[in-house]
Amino acid sequence: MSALTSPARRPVRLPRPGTLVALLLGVVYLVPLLWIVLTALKSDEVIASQPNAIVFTPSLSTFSDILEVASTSVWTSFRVAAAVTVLVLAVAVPAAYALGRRTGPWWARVVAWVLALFLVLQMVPQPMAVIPLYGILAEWQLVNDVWGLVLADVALLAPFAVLLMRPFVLGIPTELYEAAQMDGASGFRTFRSIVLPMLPNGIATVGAIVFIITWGEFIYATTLLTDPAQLPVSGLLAQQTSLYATSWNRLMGLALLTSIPLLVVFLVAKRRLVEGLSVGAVK
Amino acid sequence: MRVRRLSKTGALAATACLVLASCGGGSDSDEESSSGPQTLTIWHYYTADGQIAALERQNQLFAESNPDVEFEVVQIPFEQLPTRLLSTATTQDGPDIVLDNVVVDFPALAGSGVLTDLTPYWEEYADADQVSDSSVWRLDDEVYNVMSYTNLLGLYYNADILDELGIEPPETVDEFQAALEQVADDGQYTPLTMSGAPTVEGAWMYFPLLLGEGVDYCNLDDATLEDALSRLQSWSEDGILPREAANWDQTDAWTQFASGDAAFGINGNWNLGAAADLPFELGSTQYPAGSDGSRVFPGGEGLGIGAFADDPDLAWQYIEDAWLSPEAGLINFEDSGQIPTRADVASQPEVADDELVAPFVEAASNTASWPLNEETAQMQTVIGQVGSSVISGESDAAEAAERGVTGVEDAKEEGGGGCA
Amino acid sequence: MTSTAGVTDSAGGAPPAVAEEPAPGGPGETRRGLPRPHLAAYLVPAVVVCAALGVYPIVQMVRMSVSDVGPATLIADWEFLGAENYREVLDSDTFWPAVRATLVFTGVLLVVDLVIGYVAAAVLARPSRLTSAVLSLMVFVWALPPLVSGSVWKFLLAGDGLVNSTLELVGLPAVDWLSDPDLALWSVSLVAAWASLPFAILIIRGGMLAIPTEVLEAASLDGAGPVRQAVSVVIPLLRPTLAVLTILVVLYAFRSFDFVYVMTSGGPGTVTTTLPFLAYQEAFRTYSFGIGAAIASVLMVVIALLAVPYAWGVRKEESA
Repeated sequence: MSALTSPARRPVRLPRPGTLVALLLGVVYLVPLLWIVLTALKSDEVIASQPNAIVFTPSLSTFSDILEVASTSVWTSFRVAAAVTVLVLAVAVPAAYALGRRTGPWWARVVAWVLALFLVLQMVPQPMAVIPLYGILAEWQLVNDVWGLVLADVALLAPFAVLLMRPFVLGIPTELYEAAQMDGASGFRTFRSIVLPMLPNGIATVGAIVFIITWGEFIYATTLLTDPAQLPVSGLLAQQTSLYATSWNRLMGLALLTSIPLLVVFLVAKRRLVEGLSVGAVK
Repeated sequence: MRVRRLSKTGALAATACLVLASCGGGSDSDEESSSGPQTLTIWHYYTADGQIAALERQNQLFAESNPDVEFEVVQIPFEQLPTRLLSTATTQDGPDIVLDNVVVDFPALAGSGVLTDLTPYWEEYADADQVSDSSVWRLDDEVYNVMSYTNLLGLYYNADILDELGIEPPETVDEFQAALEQVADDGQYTPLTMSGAPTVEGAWMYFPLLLGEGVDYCNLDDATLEDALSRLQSWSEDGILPREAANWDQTDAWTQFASGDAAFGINGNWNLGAAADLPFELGSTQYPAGSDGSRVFPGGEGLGIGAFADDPDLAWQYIEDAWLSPEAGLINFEDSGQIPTRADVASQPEVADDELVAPFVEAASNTASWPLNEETAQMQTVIGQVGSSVISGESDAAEAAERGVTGVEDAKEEGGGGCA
Repeated sequence: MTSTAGVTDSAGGAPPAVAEEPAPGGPGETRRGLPRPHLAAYLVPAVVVCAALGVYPIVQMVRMSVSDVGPATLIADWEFLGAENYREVLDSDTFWPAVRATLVFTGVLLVVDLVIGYVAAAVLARPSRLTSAVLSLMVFVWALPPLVSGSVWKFLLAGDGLVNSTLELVGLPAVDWLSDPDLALWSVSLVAAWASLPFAILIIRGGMLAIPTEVLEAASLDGAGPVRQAVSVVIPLLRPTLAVLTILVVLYAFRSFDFVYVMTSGGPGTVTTTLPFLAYQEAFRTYSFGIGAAIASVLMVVIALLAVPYAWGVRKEESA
């Protein structure tokens, strides 16, 4: 970190303490990931007799078993997560903008209240929320429908996304708004041509987070979708364990396979993050 | 608000339909069923390969005599199944068949109206006398679940280790204790693996120590619970049961036993489905007996018909043919190692002559009774928690026993005081 | 709906405050607290979504917490009990230990996510091949569901797991990470913190990247050392981000139980039973829905109380 930066005599990009921190983090996250890969490469026999083994004959049997079931689930999850991300951003970015403007004490009160309510709204534990939600969605004929799950996830994540997005809006310099006002820009034009262009890294960060959380959400997913053909990834993973047996190799194999699309999403979003940085720098 | 009112009217309507259906007789539905293919939706939470294979073969068995029935088999994560079933009350649209965790969830599911009353079917069922009464689950004298197989606990042993150390498979708790101490003194192997999780599973595993003394949830007393907990505590302190067992569920415990490093493992018969793959010779015997003999609680899944099944008559037909029939019982046993509840099936040579299975069949004939109280889950959880607590060393047996007895008594009272 | 009510409330209380505080001198901005319809319009979609799907579950939960809802009565009419469920919760032997466990859990998460998160974000905000790889790795691991990452740690921390094998390799005794009653809560909390750290880093790093580089350059031209730069420039600028992160971490600790569920089921005994896990266990494992709802409602009230200073801070910062 900057606090540990070595003196400026060496214009190296990454100072040594920083490298150490990065490497340490790398190890702490790589080891469990390697463990997952190892487990996924174990055959059923190895799993049964020596689940903690590090040396064993690897087998790809798990992967060939799960490829087909994984691909259908990935498609469902992808549709759900993409729709949720788009909708959440569509709802949360304007709201964060509204809650991130400093325009006087009256509005500040509104902001404070709305933020507090958004916090409290998130406090219903999901298993408890799902039963009344099921009732509402049933009335709208949306149970066992991907769109019902999408709506439930949007309601779950929208307040969270607003809270996350607001600091990015606060980071927009007030002079920009003043300049827009002098140009006589309308409210919506200010939003579209001043605010949105300033938020690419906010949108990328929050979007990626929403996408990933939706991908992993399983309580709504397994309760609101009842058609086994539509089971999303999270439900598929939850299915692998129960009272009687847990197929660790299948679980880990599925976890790996189904996470690959997430990595792609993140890498795409990351490029946006870097661009966002340069936009900020140009300004 | 509106939603709730709607759901209540719905529930009323559904009850009315049910009454009509059982009054109107089966002729209507027979006509309906001939009009085209019908789908039976089945909810379950099986994950063991053997259980899933059995379900598929049993469905085929039914399909042979009912070619125009199609199946929609839905595997639901174990912990989500009750919630999801309870949610069906709102939509009036649920599974035709459900396999539920009857020993814990029965009062909740039967009491909340998401299961069909099976009493009329059960009274008509010709082979009802073959099924032991503990497999028929009643609430207010109405049948909601029946079990076609049961899962029981026994004592597994690694015959290679026992041979090496010259230990005979123990029959009583005292012999068991001596054997465990011998393994511990030898020092090469883990003497025992069992689940000690602070859950209903953990409770199931050590409660037979009390059942063997003639004590169950209904006449639980401080002294007997303390004896059992002291034993657990000494097992943990003397290196007989790893302290880690305080978190193990039954799957973890089996994994440890299956590695071949443990002499004994307390676990259930469903593991027999995969027993052939073990790298050592497996033996099994009944749960070590106390002064009152060897008794365990029966586990397993209850077969129920969803309250909103399209055609309950067809669903019952399925339960009879695909689960309760002798052929179905044998298929289920072959694939999953689960013990048929029908006396005539359990005495078939395939079942009765299997040495590894025999102790479980024996146990099935003399099981203990679960408490019939709507807070049964709470009672079992408390017992699981105090067990885990002494294994980990968090509290000593006397204190834990007091907490356990108070917790069970409180729960019993909250659930209306009934028990047996 | 709730949000609208909130707006009305604050409007009712507004005039005196406006009279006292002169509106800030933004040129041409609306003064004297006149409503700003165009800003409110941007809130509408979010408020509609929350009103439609977020409010009813809260109402149901609170109703449940004051009713007798047990195994057999979930679908039936609920008998009103008043505060009895709350009394039972507060009197029970399990509640206060669970409060303590929740505080430890929350504290560990806060320290790890904010302190280590800040350091790591500062490191990973610098572009290099290493930081890019580490960041991608962390996000990939974060994206794994708790069922998977929790299970992996259960294996790694097992008696014969990798962590103990490593300890034994360097001559240290094995440790019962998850079954020693003095350690289990710390182990579970640290694993949960490990799992949420990538999220914290993403957020803090995002905030750091939004700081204009000139600001930092100006600070270093002024001769500010790295520590002073962090304390006097970066952290103040990151305050909204860090405040939100703090709130979100507390929120997470108060409503999630996934790692407890996967790794220890609340044990050994009840050592790792945090309040959200207790609520889940009461409602869905033993079907005392009323009790579970009461515990969840208590947590909600705590969050509402915590929201007050947060909202107060927001208000001061907004109207300053």
